[in-house]
Amino acid sequence: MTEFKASKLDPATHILIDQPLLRLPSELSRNNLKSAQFNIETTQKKVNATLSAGIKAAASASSTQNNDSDPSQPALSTLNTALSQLQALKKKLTTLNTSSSDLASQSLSRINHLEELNDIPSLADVKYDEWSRVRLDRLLVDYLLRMGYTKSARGLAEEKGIEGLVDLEEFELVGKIERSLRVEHKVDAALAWCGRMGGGMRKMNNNTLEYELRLQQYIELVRAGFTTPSMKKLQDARAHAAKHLSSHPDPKWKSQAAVLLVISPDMCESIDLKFYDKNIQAPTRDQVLDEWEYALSDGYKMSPARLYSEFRWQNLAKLFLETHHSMYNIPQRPLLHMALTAGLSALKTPACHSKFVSPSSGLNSSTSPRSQSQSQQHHPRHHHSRGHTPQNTPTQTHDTSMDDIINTPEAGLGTAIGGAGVGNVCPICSTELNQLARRVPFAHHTKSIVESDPVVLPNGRIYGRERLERLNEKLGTEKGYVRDPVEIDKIYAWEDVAKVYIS
Amino acid sequence: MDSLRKELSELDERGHFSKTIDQVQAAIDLLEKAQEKISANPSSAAITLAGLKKPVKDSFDNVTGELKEYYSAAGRYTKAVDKKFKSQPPLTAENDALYQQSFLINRAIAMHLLREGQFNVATTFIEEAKSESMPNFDSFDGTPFNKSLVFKADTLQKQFAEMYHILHQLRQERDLSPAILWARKYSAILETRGSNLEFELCRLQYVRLFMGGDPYNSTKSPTELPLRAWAYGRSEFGPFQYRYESEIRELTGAMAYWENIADSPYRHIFLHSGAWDDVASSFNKEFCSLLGLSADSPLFVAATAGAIALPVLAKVKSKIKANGATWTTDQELPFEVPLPPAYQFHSIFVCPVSKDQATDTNPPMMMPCGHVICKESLERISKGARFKCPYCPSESNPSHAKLVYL
Repeated sequence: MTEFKASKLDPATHILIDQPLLRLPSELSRNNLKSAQFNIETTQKKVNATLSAGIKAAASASSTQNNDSDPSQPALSTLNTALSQLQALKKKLTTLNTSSSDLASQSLSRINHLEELNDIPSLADVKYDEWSRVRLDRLLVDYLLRMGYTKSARGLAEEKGIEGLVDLEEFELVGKIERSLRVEHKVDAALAWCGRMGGGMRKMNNNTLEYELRLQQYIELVRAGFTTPSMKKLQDARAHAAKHLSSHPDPKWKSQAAVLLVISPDMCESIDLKFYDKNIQAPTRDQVLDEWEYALSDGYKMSPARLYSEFRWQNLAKLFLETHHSMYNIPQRPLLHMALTAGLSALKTPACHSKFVSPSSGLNSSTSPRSQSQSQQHHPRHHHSRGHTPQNTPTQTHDTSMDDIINTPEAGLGTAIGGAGVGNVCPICSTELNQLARRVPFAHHTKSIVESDPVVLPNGRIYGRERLERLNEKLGTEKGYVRDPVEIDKIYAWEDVAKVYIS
Repeated sequence: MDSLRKELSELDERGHFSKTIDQVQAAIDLLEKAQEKISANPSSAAITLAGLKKPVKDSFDNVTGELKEYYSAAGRYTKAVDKKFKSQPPLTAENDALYQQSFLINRAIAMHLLREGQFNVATTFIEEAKSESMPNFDSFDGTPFNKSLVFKADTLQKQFAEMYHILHQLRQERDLSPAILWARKYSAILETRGSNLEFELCRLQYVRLFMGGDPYNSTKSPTELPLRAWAYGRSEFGPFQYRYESEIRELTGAMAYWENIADSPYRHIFLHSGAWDDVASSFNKEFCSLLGLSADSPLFVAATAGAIALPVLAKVKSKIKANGATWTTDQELPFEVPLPPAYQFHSIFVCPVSKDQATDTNPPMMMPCGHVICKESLERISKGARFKCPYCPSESNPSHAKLVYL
C-alpha cells in the first residue's frame, strides 16, 4: 500500500518545477504586446510632430509667395518623413507578429508535453522514465543557457529535438547582454534592453538597473576626464548626470555620485588604502559576497573606490540578470539546482558518505574523498583485501580532474570495485554526485528498510539470507561455507551465520 | 489543461498584429494619397496637409484599438497559466546546495553526456566550460577567478565509446564477439563480482549458432547448425565446466531436440526473445560498475527523484514557515519524502528505541539475542551495566553488543 502511494503520480502537483515552461513564453508574448503599444505610441507622437511642423512650413511656404521655390516641397518632404516613420512601425510590428506566433506554437508544444503526464499511470511506469528524460534534458539546457554555454545548449536541444521546450533565443539574447556588461564593459545593449522593456521596468518597484547603467556611463566619463585629462569630458559627465541621474529618488545617492567629480581614480586609490582596505590583503569569499550584498542593498554606500572599481561591471551583469529573471517571473537560479538539491537529499542516506562499506549496496564509492588512513583503522573495507592502486588516494574537492576520478583501464579498471552481486550502484555513491551531495542533509526515514530474512556474518555484515545464498552459488563457494560478498576472501561456515532481528 | 488549451487557441487566434499592421498600412495609404494629390496640385499642399491631422489620428486610434483583443486574450491565457500552477508554491532558490559548485556540476554533466553517448555535445560543453562561464554561479567560491576547469574527459570518452560500440554490436548487429572479448579481458574481476556475464555471452553465442541466427554463415544442411554449436561449445566452454556444469549440460542436452527445440524442455533457453536485451543490459551494468559508476545516469536518477520530492518539500516548507517555525537542514531532512521503491539503494536502519537513523557515529549494535539498536540507545539503556533487551527477555552486557553493518 505504501509502495503504491509512493509511486503515485499526481500530474497537478508534479509540475512544480515546470512553471517557467509555460510562464516564460506567456510573459514574452505579453511583452511583445507592450512593445507594440510602446512603438505605436512613440510613432504616433513622432508622426504628429512631423505633421504639425509640416503644416507650419507649408503654410509659411505658401504665404511667402516666393516664386523661386515650389510651395509643395515642404509638404512633400513632411509626408516622406511621416511615411518612413510609419514604415518603420510596420516593420517592427511584423517582426513582433512573427515572434508572437512562434511563442504561441511554443506554448502549445509545452502544454502537449505537460499533458503527456496525464496518460502516465504511475511513477514506476516506463513512460514516466521517458518523460523524465526529456525533463532532464530541459533542465540541462536551462542550466547550460544560464551559465552561458550557449553552443552546448543549442547542441543538446537540437540533438534531442526539444527546441520548442527550451528558451534558446531569449537566453541567448540575455547571455549576449550579460557578456557585454561583464566582459566588454559596455552598457549600450543593456540600456537598449531597458528601453525595450519600458513600462515593465517601471512597474517593478525599486528596480535600479537603469540608474545603475546610467551611473556607470557617468563614471566612465569622469574616469576619462581625469585620466586624459579633459575638462570637456568632466563637463559631459555633469551634463549626463543632470539628464539621467537627477531623477533618482535618493538625494544621498546623487550627492555621492557627484563627489566623483572632485575625486580622481588616483586620489581615491590612496584614500581607499587609508580608510577602507587597510586590513584587507585579498578579499576572501565572504568579503566578496558581503560586497555584493552590500552593493545591492538599499543603503548602497558609494565610496569613490567602489564606484571606480572594475567590480561594478560584475555587479551590473548580475543586476541585469536578476532584473530580467524577476521581470519574466522565472527563478534566479538554474532549475537543475533546485531539482538536484531536492533529489540529492531525498536519495541520500548516511551510508553514502560512511567510511564503512555498505553490504546492502555493494559498492560504496571508493572515489569519495574520505581519508584512506582513517578507513584503514576501521572495519573491513574491501579495498584492503586486494592490491590497491595509488589512484584511490583521497581526492581533493576542487582540483579533481576527470582522470583522477576514473580508473584507467590499464591500471585500475575494476580495482575500485569489489564484492559480488553489486546491485544498482547508488547514484549518490557514484562519482558524479558524491561530492556534491556532501552539503545536503540525508533523507528522513521512520522505519528501517532491510532485505528480508536478514542474517549476520561473523564480521558483522548483514545480508538477506536469500541473496547471500544466491551470490555464494554464483561465486562457487563450497557447500557448507559462505563468503562475504564484499570481501570474498573471507570464508565462514554457514553455522556461524546468525539470524538478526531488525524492527 | 482544457481551459489552458482553450485560452491558448484564443491567444493564437487573436494574439497577433495582423490587423494592427493593416491599420498602419491604412495610414500609410492615406499619406501616399495625399502625396499624389499634392504632386498633382502643388497649391493644395497646405490645405491637404492640414486635412490629414484628423484622419491620421483616427487611424492611430484604430491601430491601438486592434491591440485590445490581443490584450484580453493574453490576459486570459496568463490567468489560465496562473490557475494551472495555483496550487503550487512559487519556485524559490532557498537552500540551494549547488550554489557555487559549478565545477562539480559541470563535471557531473560532462560525465552524464558521455555516458549517454552524447559525445558531440560533451565535447562542445567541455570546451565551453573550460574557456568561459558566467561568473555568477562559480567565480566566487573562494578559488581564484581565473582558475580554469580541468576536464580531461578523453579517457572517459574512450571508455564510453567502447561501451557504445559493444552495445551497438550486441543490439543492432547481433554480434557477440566484441562483448565476449571484453568479458574475457576482465574475467578475473567479473568473477570476483560473481558476474555471469562471460558465460551468458558465450551461451547466447551457442544458442545463436544452434538456431542459425548467424547471417554470415547461411547453411544448406539443417544438421550443420547444431554441429557448429556443438563445436563452439567444445572449444569455448572449457573454463566454465566447473561453475556452470548444469547449464552446460542443458545446452548439450538440447542437441537431442535439434529438430523441434520449441517442444523441448530447453525452449526457455533457445527461444528466449529478450535474451539479447538481457545480455546487453547486464553488460552495460557490469561495464559501468567496473568504472565505479551506476548503470543509470546518477544525474537522471537524482533529478527525477528531485522532481518527485520537490512538491512535498515545498508543501512542508510553506507549512513550517506559516507556523513561524524554522527547520535546520544540517544533517537530516525533518520529514519523510516518499519515493518509489526503485529509488532505494541502501538498507536503512532506524533505531527502534530512539527513532534515529544509524550513522557512523551512532552505528547499529546487535545484542547477543540478535536484536539491534543504535549505540547511543544502548548506552542510555544500559548505563554501562548489565541490561535487559527492550524487545525480548534476554539480558546482556553492553560490551557483548556487536557493531553490525547494513
